[in-house]
Amino acid sequence: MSEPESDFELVKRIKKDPSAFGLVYERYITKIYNYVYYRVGNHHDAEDLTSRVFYRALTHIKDYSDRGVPFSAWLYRIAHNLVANWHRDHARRQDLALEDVILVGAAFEMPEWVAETNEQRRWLLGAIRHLPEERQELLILKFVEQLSNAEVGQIMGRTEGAIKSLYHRTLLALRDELLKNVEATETRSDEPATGDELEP
Amino acid sequence: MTDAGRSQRAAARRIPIDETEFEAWLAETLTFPTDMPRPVLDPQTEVLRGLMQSMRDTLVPVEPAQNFVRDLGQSLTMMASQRRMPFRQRYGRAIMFGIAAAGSVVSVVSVGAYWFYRRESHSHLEQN
Repeated sequence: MSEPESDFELVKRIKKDPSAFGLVYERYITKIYNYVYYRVGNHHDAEDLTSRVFYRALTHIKDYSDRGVPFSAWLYRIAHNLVANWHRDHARRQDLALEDVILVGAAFEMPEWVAETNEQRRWLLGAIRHLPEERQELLILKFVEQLSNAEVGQIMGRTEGAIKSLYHRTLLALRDELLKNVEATETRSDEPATGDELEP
Repeated sequence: MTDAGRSQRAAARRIPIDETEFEAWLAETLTFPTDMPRPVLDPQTEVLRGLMQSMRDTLVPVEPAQNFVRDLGQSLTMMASQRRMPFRQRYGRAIMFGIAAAGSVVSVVSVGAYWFYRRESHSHLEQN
């Protein structure tokens, strides 16, 4: 069986024959879509931005040259820039839908467990969305895209060591947030009930 | 410093600080066989482990809608086929190099022919 064509060879081919772009599209559509979806939080904008990423890539692929930056990193950079522009334009809008990641399947069997897990996930997604942009990007690339630290470093333009360090700091920051949230929840549940609730 | 403060700092130090060690440790704890007793972790580390697990469960890949993938793919294919480079742009450089190379060959041959002609003329004059 022949080896799949490398990105480098594929890009060379596309430069001569743009109709080969479909192969790049098939290879990266799900990855780019996931990246964008987790950055914007809804399917409508994720589809719109993903389309723009590929249109832009097709238009500018002739300018791409492999100077130590793999093609995938170049594609993610386009996505990153478009998402950053989107966030700038939608600064006041808070979209936290992310409906696909919320459990629904087991709701009939274990409704309480599902509700609790969904609550935890909603909280976690909210906490992630409040992290600085580069930390969100890091978590998405590591967990959703399942890239190695070296690959994440190439996409984010940092060294592998810097990525590990940022990852570590991000986890500790999230843990502190989580502990604060738990404390706040406990404090709320310890508060005495209001008079209204005591009335018959 | 109080005893509570000291023990808190000691607990915090137990979290692996070196990133490589930390990654290895997390991988180890997350794939720990369920039929074996889990190692006892200090509360802070336990929270961190739980957080990692939650992130793995929450940040899962999603599939884009099939209609969207198909329509965008078709649209890009159409756009790509329109972007086929015209003949002049595609082979322009090769044609230029070809003409330049042919010109060079013609020049060299011309110089050679002129030199040969001069030599022949001289030899005729000398004979006469």
